[in-house]
Parts: sequence; structure tokens; C-alpha cells
Amino acid sequence: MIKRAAAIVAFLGLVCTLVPLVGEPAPTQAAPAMFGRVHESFQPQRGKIFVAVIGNDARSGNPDRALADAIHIVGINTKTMKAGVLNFPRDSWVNIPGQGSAKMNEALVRGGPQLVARTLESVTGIRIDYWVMTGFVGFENLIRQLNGVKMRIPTNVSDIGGSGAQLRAGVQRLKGYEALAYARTRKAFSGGDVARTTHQGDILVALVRKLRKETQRSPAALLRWIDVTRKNTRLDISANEMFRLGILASQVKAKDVGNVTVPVSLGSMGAASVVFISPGAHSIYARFKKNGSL
Amino acid sequence: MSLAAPSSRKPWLALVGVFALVALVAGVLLTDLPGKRLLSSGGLAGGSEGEVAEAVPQARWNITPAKTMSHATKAQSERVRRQRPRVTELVKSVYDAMFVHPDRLGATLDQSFRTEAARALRRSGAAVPASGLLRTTSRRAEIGIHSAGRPMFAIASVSLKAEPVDGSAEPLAHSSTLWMERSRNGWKIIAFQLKQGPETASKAGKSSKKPAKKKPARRK
Repeated sequence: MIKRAAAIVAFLGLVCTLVPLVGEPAPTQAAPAMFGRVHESFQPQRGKIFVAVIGNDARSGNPDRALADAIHIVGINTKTMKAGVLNFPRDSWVNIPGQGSAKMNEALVRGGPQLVARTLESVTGIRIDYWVMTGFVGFENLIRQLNGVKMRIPTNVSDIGGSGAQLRAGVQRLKGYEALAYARTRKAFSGGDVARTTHQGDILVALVRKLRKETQRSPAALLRWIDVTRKNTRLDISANEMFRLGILASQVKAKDVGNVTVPVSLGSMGAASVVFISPGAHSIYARFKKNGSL
Repeated sequence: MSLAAPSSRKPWLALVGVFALVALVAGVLLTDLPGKRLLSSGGLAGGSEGEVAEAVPQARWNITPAKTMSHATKAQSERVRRQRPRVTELVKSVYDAMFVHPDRLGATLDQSFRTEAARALRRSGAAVPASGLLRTTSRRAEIGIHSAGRPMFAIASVSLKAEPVDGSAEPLAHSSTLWMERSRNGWKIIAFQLKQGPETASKAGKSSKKPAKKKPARRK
């Protein structure tokens, strides 16, 4: 009897010791957003940090190999605390490193977010430090858990058959599903994909504005943002780096964030309709690379 | 049979006893050591200035927790609960060194700040109060702690009002934010932001932001 009791106590003791060492169980669901590092060693480029922001077209989960519907470079200058969002239409005809010429959104299918970042590097000459990727569900959840995002919609938007967006012009707080629909809408705009990518940049700027406003009111709000991001994120970078990036981002004023879409001309390549990035984009790349802001 | 049983029980019991002892010692070490380190971070006020400063009555700290996690797991909540006193002590020790015991400032900076942050604070000189003793009239802090598994972060926003004991200068208003990370050596301040000036100026600044509404002039 005593022997059995002692064995049970010893077993429970062993479990109590080992369980805290194992830590929390890893999330089993596919994370709706991923955040990672492009290069092995992080080297701040004289106070400038560049992040590739990718939105894939996966309806659920966050697979590595899907088409990229949203492709942006976000830059922050840590000295001037100015920033920029450079938007690329997904159909931009570019050279994908090691893959030949193709639409930029195909880089994600062929080599995951890492290859998208490498493609952006080869197109712009800007060294990308991190990438962050989200899918439909991840984006919607992020916005929903952040209690929506307030932004100005330039015109009435109605795309019921497509993205499902139905929004009135003016300043409003978009819920998660509304923000997703607005970020996806292209047929409702004469500018098509170019207008869409600009609106995606507007959403990023609106998020910067929201982060700044909330952290000005209560600096600890940054921790809630990190929590929400982590809950919807598969992290490939250290949590400490994310905290530091968050501190930086919370210091940037929305008015100091330029939102620029690369100039393009419409064309076709075989049967596919594509856009060609205009040579004028090189001056934008050079400015962005030099200043870290637009 | 009955005689053989006691001899087989003894090793088990001894094992359990040793195990319990080791767990107890490990638990005490894990929970207590960093706290003790923090408490001694400021060092003792050795000089007479420290003793005089102790005699000046200071405002009580009003510390509130900030919600930082929407659906925290039990383990996360427990980690945060365990770290809260340590972070609170760190914050208190920093502001005590800044305003109540300036003689402790150097030691506190070395112990509680990352090297770059300490250098920046020294360079700014903004946190070092004017010479002479200060009496704090209000000390408030909102502290949020986030547990991302083993790495932990904390943010404290502090507002403080103080006046010179001898009334030689204007009362002072101070507000600041501390960003903290937990490392192997305990909690460290990695970045800070502070605003400080005469209290009257900050009041005037506030009032100038919201001017009194004037009635529209009537047209004749």
C-alpha cells in the first residue's frame, strides 16, 4: 500500500517537474499570419528597417505557397521616425531570382515569402530585413481583434459580386470583414489592381495611425497589439525583435508615412495581362533606400 | 513476506524525500533571487543626503495594472502575476533614484537600464532633478506586462509631480514611458521617453490646447 502511494507521489512529482519545462503546447492550427526574417543576420541599415508585407490569396490558413494578392515594402527610418509604404501591383512583370520573368505574385507560389522578399530586393535594390505574411482569415481576425480600423474611403464602393465590399465614401471605422473586402476590391475602381494596391497601403497607414493613437493614450496598448499579432502569427523572428519593432512603429506619426504605388503601364505577355513597372520607379526606389521613408 | 516489505519501501521513500527537498530549494531560488537583486539595485543611501531624503515625506505610489492580453492562458497569467512585483519594484527604484535619492541614480542606471538606454538618459540630463531635496506630491504608474512564452515585456507609463522642499523653485511635472524586457539578468529598461517641466507650464500648455469657446459675434 505504502509502496504504491510512494510510487504515485513520485510519478506526480516527476510530471510536475517536467511539464513546466516543456512549456505551452505549440499552436496546432495553421497560423493566419507569418512573420519572418529575410537574412540570417539582422543588420540595421544605418537606422533604416525595411519589411516586406505580403497578403496571400488563401481563403483559409496561411500556406507558404499561394499567390500574393498584396505586395508592399514598409520602411522606417529610426532616426527621423519617418516611414513609407511602397506598393506593387500583383501583376507587375518582374524578374524573379532563379525563376526568370513572371508576375510578381507568382514568386510566392514558387519560393514562399522568402522569394517574394528576394524579388523585391532584386527589383528595388533595397535590402529587406523582415517579411510578414497574412491570409484572408488572418487579416480579418487581426483587424477584428484590434476593434476595427478607422479610415477614409475616397468614393462609394460596391463590389457585391466580387469582394463583397459595400462601403460609403467618407471617414468610418471598418470592421474586420469590411477591411478585408476593401483590401480585395479592384473591379469597382477604374484604376483596377493599381487602385487596390494603393488602398491596401492606405490600410497599413491607418493601422500605424491607430497604433500611435492607442499607445499615446496608454503606452501599454502596444503589448495588446503584440498579443493580437502573435495570436495570429507564426513567428520566425525573436519576440524581442518584434517588441523593438513595435516600439519603433508606435513612435511613427501617420502623417509622416508616405504611401506610394510604383508607376506602371498596362500591357500583356502572351495571353496574360500584366503591368510593367515604369523606369521612373527607380528614382522612388533610390529615395526610399536612402531615406527609409517616402 | 511482511518482513521483506519495509526494506523495499525505504528506497522509494528516500527518493520522494530527496525529490521534494530539491523541488523546494529550486522553487525558492527561482522565485526569490531576482526579486532580491532588484531590491538591492539602488543600493543603500549611504551618505547623510540619503538619510535626510528618507525623512522627507513622499507621495504614495498609485500603481494600476494595464490589460495586455485578451485571452491569456493559465501559464501566461501565472508568469505575469509572478513578475508583477519585480517590475513594480524596478519602476519604483528608478523613480526613487531620479527624484528622491539622486545619489543612487548611477547605480540604478547601471543595474536597471541597458547600456545604450542608460547612456541616453545620462546624456539627456532631463531626469536629474535640480539640486536640493524634492518632495513628491503625486506618483502614478500604469504597468502592463506581456508574456510571450519565456520572453516577457513590460511597459510602464509614469506621471509624477514634485516640489523642492525649501520652495526654491517651481513645482515639477514629469511623465515618462519605460519599455522593459526580461533577460537572464532580470528586467532591464531598453528604451524610455520622458517629458518634464515646471508644473505651471504644463498646466498652461493644457489650457492653451483647449481655449474657452467664444460665442460667435453677432452681426449688426
